[in-house]
Amino acid sequence: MIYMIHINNLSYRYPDGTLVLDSVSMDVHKGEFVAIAGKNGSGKSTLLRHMNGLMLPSEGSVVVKGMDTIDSSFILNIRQIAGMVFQDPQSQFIGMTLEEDVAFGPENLGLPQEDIRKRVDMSLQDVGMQEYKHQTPGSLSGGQKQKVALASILAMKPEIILFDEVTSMLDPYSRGEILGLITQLHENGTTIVYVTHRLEELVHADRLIVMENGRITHNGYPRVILSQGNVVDSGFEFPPVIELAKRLCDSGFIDPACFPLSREKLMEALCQLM
Amino acid sequence: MSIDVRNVSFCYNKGTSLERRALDNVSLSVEKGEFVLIGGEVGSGKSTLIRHFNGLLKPQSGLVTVSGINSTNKAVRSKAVLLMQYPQKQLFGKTVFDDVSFGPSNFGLKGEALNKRVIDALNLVGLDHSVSALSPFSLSGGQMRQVALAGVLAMNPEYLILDEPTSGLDPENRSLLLSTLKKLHSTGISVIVVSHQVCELFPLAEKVVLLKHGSIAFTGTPAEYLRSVSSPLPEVTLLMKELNKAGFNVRDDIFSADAAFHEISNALVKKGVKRYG
Repeated sequence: MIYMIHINNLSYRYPDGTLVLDSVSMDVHKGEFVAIAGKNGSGKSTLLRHMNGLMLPSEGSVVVKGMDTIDSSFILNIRQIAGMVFQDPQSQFIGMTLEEDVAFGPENLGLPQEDIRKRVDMSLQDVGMQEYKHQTPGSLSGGQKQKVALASILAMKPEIILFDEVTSMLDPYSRGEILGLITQLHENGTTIVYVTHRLEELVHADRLIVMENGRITHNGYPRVILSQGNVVDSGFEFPPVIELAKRLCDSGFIDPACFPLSREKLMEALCQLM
Repeated sequence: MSIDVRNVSFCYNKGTSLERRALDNVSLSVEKGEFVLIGGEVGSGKSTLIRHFNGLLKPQSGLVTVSGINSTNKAVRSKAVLLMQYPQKQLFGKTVFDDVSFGPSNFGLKGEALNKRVIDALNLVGLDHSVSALSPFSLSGGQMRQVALAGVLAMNPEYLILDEPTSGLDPENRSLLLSTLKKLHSTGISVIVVSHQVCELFPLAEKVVLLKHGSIAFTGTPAEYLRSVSSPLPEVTLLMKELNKAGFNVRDDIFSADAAFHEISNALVKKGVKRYG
């Protein structure tokens, strides 16, 4: 297995001394889809921000494709390899038009005009927003803005994309669209790290990391972790249908090893019982 | 006493090439003390409708009255208050006190009465009065939303209207907000919530209104909704309907995990299904 991100004993303190991350060690492998979940204040977003050098460790180290984030000569390289999409896409816009906005990253790489244009067109096309390229970001809906934010990261041709609760401000339809795009990127080989507290979004993940008080409490297969009783309080949103599935597991009707993570899976499991 | 909407229609950019009809001959009433959910897809007219409830938008045809007062009269703004989506973005005061007192002081409240109003409003949303001296921007996102809510409650409204109040909140802050709404409702305030996830609020609601393309597609209780509306339905209800099709004999007008668990486990036991372990 190839490490994309190698985190060793990472601790992070705010200037006032508050410990936000407490000796965290974990790896992200090439092509993996890793979900990170936890309550507000558990340190999940802080951990994510260390993965492209947006924040730097107080102790320990974060190494992205062999490059230590603490070494400032690597930082541009690291940012190009690992792009981040934030919760509020509004905070990421800088251009007058979508085209200009998406071009910002590649322009800073010093690419020739022709290449920049190609990359902008490609990435807007990938997220299905090409026809809007001359519009202003302000005229878009929340879901469309999030797609454009993703396009501006794709224009950098990243190997890793870090997502920080990108669906939390979206309506269910746009949420589905964004998740579809992310799953597609993953299938095409992009490494995904995805911070969320929506349980139904974990279905797509290869691995789940649960954080509490700045530490990793669980690290493994989503289904296995979620079937254990003690994660219920770790800041997950258990939609009623998953709560129902969990109670049917807990009371012995459904094998906990096959914990159904969606309505469709629960339906299958129940029909098998009959 | 009620908010009465009679035959209201509304177009954006009326008379231009960008004309878009948002409400088409809508009639509806919200009684004092009622808890009402207004659902519908993006663009169905939900937000346009509630902006008529406090006179923020004036009907282009038809009539809106709030406790008998025409919505074009500014007096309705203190009776029916509107909390917009992401209200924390509207905070502007140097201190929480400045923010929460802004509305009532504009309606002439001063001195001790104003102080008391602010403290009561903060208490209603579960914040200690000690936060009133802090900058609202030093608080967490969830607390900022509570401050914004306190700001509209300080108007002593009869009707509290909220646009997507749980959007972007984590589970903890969401349940805090829902329990605040429950508490407010129990004090006699009408609560009107617009959401595209109406189902999560079913346990609190007395009436559900569903909008489609600017018209009312359904009005009734949550139970009636589950029996007569085909979408959107809560996931649990959908599951129960699917189970019935597959030959289970279970109630399908329920939406909570608890009720569904009892129905399903009873059905499984009846069929002699063995448990693991």
